[in-house]
Amino acid sequence: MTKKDPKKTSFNKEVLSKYTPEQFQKYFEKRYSGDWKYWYKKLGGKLPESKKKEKISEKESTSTSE
Amino acid sequence: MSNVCSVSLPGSINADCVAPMQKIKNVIILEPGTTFSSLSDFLNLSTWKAFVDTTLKAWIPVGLEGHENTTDDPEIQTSGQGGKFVANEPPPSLIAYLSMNFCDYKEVLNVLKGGTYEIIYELNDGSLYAYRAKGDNVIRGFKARINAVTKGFTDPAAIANFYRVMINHTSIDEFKNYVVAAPAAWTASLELVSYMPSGLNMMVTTPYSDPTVVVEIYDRCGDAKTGLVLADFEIVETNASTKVITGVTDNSDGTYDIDIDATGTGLTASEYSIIRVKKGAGPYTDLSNKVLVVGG
Repeated sequence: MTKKDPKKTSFNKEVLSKYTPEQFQKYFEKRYSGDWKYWYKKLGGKLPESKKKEKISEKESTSTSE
Repeated sequence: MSNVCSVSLPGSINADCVAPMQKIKNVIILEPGTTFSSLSDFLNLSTWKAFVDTTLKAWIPVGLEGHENTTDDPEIQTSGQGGKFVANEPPPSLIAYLSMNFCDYKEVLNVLKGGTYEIIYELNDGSLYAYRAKGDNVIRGFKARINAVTKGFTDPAAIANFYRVMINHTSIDEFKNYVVAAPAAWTASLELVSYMPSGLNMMVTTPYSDPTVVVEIYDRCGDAKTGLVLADFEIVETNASTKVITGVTDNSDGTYDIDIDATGTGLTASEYSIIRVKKGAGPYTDLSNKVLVVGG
């Protein structure tokens, strides 16, 4: 099947924003052209921060909970 | 309270009023259990409008081309003494010939297959003929099984009688407790018909292939329907509890790519969804037939 232009699609923002990045990538790349990350963010999904930041966040999180 | 063998006569009359019962002008089919709380509610256009275009509990065709009263005569038996008595009172039945088009009628054939509905009749003078139980303010339709049965061809002598619907009522008692009331400022065949959502035809053109099914939609007997968006579609029924419509692509030629998915997993081979168009947020302006989408 030819991949479609996501600009011509009305997406279910409420549902798709709750997909994990992996789930959204799997869904999106099956039939849409374009950058899945861009569309994931546009629909309200949150991509994980970089590893360095994650470590900091974890540390912060730990210290907060303590 | 009179009993079944009461010999009381009906009582007083209005001698100045002789009003023949009118012919049937239209039929209004209601979902079972649809009621009007009082006579004033029954005559209130707003109540009807909500049933027609928002809750979708009432369906009214453009009108009738005619009808045949097919009610059987009561069975008359002769007793051993030679006297006659009425052995049964058959419930009323009729064949209604709808004013319609072949596209809408196809949908009618697919829907009216003997299910039980409730019917209120619009009479020629605009009054409404319905059922009200004794001692009850609530007004409802007469219960009936309804079958749309086509003969396949027109009758050359009466081509208008092609769109047949057979209405077989289930109780004579309801007809003994009828109410006839005329709305003062509106008529069913004008106002209610104008509130009916436009019918759309939808068909699958490319079967489901994870996560997409392609459908074609057009106005009944009309042009391709474009401009629909995700909010205009709904899943009516599914055996896959978590599957939802995640995206709708308008291909601008009357076809739409519809994604049915759940967290990256589409419908599997054993799953199905039934979808339709229901445009608007109540009142609905367009309504399509239902389409079965089978996973695979």
